Amino acid sequence: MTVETTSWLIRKPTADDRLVGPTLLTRDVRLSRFGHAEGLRTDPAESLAEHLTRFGRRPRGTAGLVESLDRADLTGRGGAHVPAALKWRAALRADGPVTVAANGAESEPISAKDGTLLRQRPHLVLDGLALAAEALGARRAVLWLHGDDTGSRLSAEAALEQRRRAGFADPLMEIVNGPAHYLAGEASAITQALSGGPMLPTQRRRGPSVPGAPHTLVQNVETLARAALVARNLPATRSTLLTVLTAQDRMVIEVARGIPLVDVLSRAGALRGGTPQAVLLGGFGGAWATWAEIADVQVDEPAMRRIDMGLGAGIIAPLDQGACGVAETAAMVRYLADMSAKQCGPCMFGLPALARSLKLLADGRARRDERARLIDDLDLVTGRGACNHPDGATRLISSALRVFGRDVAEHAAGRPCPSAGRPTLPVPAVTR
Amino acid sequence: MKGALAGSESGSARVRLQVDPVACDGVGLCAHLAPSVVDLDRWGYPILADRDLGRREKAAARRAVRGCPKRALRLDGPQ
Repeated sequence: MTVETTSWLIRKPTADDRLVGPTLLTRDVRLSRFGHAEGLRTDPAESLAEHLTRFGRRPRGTAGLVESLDRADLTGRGGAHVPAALKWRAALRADGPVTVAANGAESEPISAKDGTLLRQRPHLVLDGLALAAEALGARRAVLWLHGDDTGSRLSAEAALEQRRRAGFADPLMEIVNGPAHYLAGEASAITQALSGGPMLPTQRRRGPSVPGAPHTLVQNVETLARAALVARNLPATRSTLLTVLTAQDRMVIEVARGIPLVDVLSRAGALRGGTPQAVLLGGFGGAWATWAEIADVQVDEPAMRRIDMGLGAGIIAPLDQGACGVAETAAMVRYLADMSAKQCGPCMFGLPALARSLKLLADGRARRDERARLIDDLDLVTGRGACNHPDGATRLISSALRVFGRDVAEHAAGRPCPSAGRPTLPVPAVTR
Repeated sequence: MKGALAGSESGSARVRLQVDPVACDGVGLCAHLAPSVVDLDRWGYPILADRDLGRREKAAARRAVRGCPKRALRLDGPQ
């Protein structure tokens, strides 16, 4: 089933069309709960001709675009929400060769907004990548994809071919397939892989950069699509792309920035079974919030951050009343432990230890000191990896202890929730 | 523990022992060479004192840096 109306969460067009602004998606889509962004109804990507009719040709990318990004207050939509202008300026300062990587390796298991964007509007993403490459004088421009996201790759390949045939004056853009792994989208790993090294995260703190060292700008594909709007002087930050996961399905929708979360879920049909007990924000690398504390909060990163929450890559997953938050968290943390790059001891050993404790708790088979051990291990792991992977896991667990505190106590006493054996979140299978 | 890596980013004038968690293999020699500065967690990986080091501690930390077979330790700040 498909949501037929185009971008129905965006304000209705008014006489002053600039108030509405262009949408990134051609329409909202309904997807199955697992896998990449293959819609239940597939329709063709916007062609180059349609793209040009809607947006016109892109201007040439110049260093002045950085100032425009700054004015537009464009932040990174891969999840970290770092101002784009900050990263572009760092690339401009680099005196070595620059590579620009459009990051479409959407590795958060719930997320599908980047894949949906690439399937619907590949030309807007390629415009953004080309603009960034020109503005930064990059020697190399890459679209980086998750290894098994065939749909995104085919869409981007077709779009590149259309541009080539039309004789577009684009810089050379190549598509690179990363691994099919949770860390495939990790920026420092992409940087290392593109410079010929292993696809592994590198140390967070680096020494003073070597003169003439290569520099890689990794920017999420949604961010680049928005940069392509900024370059055309179009409003670029009035909407946000979200993936909403319900017990039945998954939707990728585009909503006006700042509407309350309860409205997003209600319009996505996620409240038909009643109000949820909690909401997972930001996916496996995100955190739980209680329904009471999050329902009326605006779906906008700054508003979320004021209450120590975050949308991450725009993932919202309400948890039904009957489900067991402890078991859901245990299943996610097991996956995160399996997805460790296994480079740093505290992550390689700490995440499996955390996953084991959570599993025992979830099953109601916890040792007497299990909860205390879990809390000790959280402290032991946090901040001790080279990348943010272990910190994402500990943050998720800490939020679960807070949000599902009463359930955790019941589980620890050997009285697990009736639904503990049937976690509902889509956790990818791992072959070990 | 949370500040084990963060301190060096502030550019403060403090002298701190730092570990590269990727290079570290949990050999544990550092905890013998600089017991006042290094503890080991239950998996054998170093937990470094999150504070400015005194003169004797600095000397011990230098021994740990030199002794690490994986070259995973370094001393940051004015020496």
